[in-house]
Amino acid sequence: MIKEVDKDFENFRLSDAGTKIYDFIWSKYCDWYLEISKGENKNPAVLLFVLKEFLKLLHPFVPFVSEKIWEFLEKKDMLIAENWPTFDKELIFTKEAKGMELIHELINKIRSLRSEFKVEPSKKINAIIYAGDQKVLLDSNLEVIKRMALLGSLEIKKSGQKIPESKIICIKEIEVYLPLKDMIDTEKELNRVSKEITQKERFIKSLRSKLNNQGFIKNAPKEVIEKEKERLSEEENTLKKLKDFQKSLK
Amino acid sequence: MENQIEKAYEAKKYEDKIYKKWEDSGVFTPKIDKSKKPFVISMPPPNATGVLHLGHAVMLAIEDILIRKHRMMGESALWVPGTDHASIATQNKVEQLLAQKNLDRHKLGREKFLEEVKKYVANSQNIIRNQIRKMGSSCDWTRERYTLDEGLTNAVQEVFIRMYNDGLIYRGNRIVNWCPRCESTLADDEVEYKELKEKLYWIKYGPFILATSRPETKLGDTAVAVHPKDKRYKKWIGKKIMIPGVLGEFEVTVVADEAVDPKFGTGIIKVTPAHSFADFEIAQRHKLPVKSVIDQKGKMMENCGKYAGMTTTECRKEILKDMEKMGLVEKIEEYNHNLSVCYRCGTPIEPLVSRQWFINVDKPIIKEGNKKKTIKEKAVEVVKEGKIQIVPTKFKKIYSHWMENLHDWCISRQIWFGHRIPVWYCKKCDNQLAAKTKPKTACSKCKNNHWTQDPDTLDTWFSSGLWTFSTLGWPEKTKDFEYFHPTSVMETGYDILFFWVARMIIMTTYTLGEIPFETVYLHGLIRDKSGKKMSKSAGNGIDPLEMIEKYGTDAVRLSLVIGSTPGNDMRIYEEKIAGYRNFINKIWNSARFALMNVSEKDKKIKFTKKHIKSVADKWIIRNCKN
Repeated sequence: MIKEVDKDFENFRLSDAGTKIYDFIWSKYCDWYLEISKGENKNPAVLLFVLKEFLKLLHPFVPFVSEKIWEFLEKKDMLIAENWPTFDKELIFTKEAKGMELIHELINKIRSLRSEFKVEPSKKINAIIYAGDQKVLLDSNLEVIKRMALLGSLEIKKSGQKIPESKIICIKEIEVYLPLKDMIDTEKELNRVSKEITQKERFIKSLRSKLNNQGFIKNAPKEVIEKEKERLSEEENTLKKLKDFQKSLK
Repeated sequence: MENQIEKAYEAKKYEDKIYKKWEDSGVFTPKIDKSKKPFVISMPPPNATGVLHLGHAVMLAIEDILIRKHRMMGESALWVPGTDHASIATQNKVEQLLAQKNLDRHKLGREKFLEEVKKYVANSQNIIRNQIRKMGSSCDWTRERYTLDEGLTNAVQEVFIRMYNDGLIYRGNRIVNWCPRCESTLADDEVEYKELKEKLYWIKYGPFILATSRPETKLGDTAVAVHPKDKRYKKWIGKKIMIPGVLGEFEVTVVADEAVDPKFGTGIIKVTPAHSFADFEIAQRHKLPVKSVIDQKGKMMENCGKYAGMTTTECRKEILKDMEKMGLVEKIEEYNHNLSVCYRCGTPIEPLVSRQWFINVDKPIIKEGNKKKTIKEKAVEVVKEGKIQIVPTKFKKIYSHWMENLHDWCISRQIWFGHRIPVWYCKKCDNQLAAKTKPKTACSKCKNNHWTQDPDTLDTWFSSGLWTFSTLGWPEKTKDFEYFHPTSVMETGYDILFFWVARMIIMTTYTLGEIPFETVYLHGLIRDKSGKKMSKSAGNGIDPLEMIEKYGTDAVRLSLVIGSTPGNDMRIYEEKIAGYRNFINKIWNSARFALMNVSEKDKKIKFTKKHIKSVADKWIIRNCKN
């Protein structure tokens, strides 16, 4: 971020610089780091170091609030006279940073699947991960993943058998299995699906009879007929998927 | 508990105290360190009698961001604050105040009037200083300047005298924009335009019929003009003819000139050299006589017979009546006209010929090798060659175009408040000379020792044109001037690119042979929610101080900076500022949350690389430090 912010300053893109600093604070420090830092994972030295770094970056934009917060951190020196943070290649942990991003992706995908299935936030679901070579990394972050993805139980294995009747998320070599029964109210879902199937079948039937109608085939322009045929095959495909899903629920 | 961080951030509670702490610490005053390049901004001086408006606020926010960043980078960061005496604007204001007491400047006399202005300015300066502080501006108050202080006056006189002795400054009769209310000239860019529905009169003019919007100026006509290729009038060109008029017959010459638009009206125009810019130029090209008929108060002159003493509007009415009686009015139409008005008071401009001081922009004077360049050429060159960068770059072209078309700059103003022109006339003969103070020696021509100073003052942009170097102590060889000039960035609104920025470039490259600043950063104009320009009369203005009171300075600063790009106008409205207040609260809350998770002992930890442990630690540090 520092490199980019400096570049923005050089090019007088002050708005971009300010926005980048704010995004860092909000979507990296607050949304992830502070969340991860709860409980046993807390590391005050790093937490304070990063806080001070971004206060320095913020200072030119919002001098008063940043100086006020600084007063709680440093009794002697004022923020206005601090040194501007610099890029430090000693502190560029490329490999570890990638690992953390993988964990974020994993948590994000589980979270979005939860919202796709409209799982209540209070409801814990279970997960089994086949992590391959990333097992060590995920093991060391088991508590974080479990807490932030709202998991009831989390098992991390190197590899294993395909688990039926579960949703699967693939991130590179990692496979995450989320048993459907945790996420779904089966009865409600069955009800919804069978309604949808009936509707689909009715629609397909009418489409078929239209395409069997000699008058329509003779008079309609070719493109229209082609379009209707395409539509029919799409609808049949969806119907098949719905029926498979229905089977998996039973 | 002292370390307990409050739940909510209350800007009002802390801002003034924090500012005082900064100012008292001396951190705004940089040290001269010749081992490194300084970072310098000259603050565009707000008018001494003004109040802070959003235009100032955006300027202060951007400049303060740059200065704070460069200061933190360990550079000698200098931000020079100051105020502008703003001659006409200030004089008008004091005159308005005097009018309330049934006084005017003529009743008071020059000296007493200037005392009044001085008092008024001193009080106003305090207001604007505090408002600059309110914005959080970390400028160096120990170096504050005023365009009319002793040092700057000396610099103004020094530059004037150099230009005078170089033959760049001359006195001449020229047509100028004249405001009959301010009774002063206005520079071309001090004229504003107002679109109006006006009447166009088709009149019988000897053997011709022509269209004019100002029949009253007929009294000052000395020619009629046609386009050289217009066949209709070919046989008349070069002839002198007698025209019947309301005051009897008068003579005009028929001239052919490219400037005439054969499609306007009947293709023939009357020429009033003394009261129209275009006509003055035609008169110069054809050596026509110049006959003034309107005086400096906007009234018809003695040579106008029964119309003498009338205002131009009254005269127009009367003259039309008389012309109708004589059967000279053919028809009257309405048309859309761009009326020029004074940018200070809105009074219609009366172009007049008067004796003024000018700067010759086309005289080769700056020596470079075997060649000499004009001040205009030099000002074009420094931008063209990239010695001065303009952000955004689109203004580079506009600048060059404007500069290349620049005419001689009229620098004298017929007002009292300002830098008096340092030219002295011998009362006994026609001798004159330029000097800072009254000459002690006798006139070299007639040996008399009676000198009187030119009564006029200089255009306010003359002194502000020297701002980057006069504020650093020039013409004295000060340490400040040596170290801090040229400055780094000139940040201002694009609306004064020509008024001010261009003039600084001209004056500095001429006087010092160096540029005034390396980069010009131009911000856009502030508009309201629907994109309209803010103005007092429209009532859509936002008072930055009221917003600071309500939402805090930081929120106001962000609303002026985030989402805006150089050179583009921006929209500001209260909800936007309120939105950034929430942004400030979020910053506060995240810091508060972090602080609640650490102990007093933790705060004393001296961070080293060893403290970085988990993958999450490494990730957040990387994202911050890369």
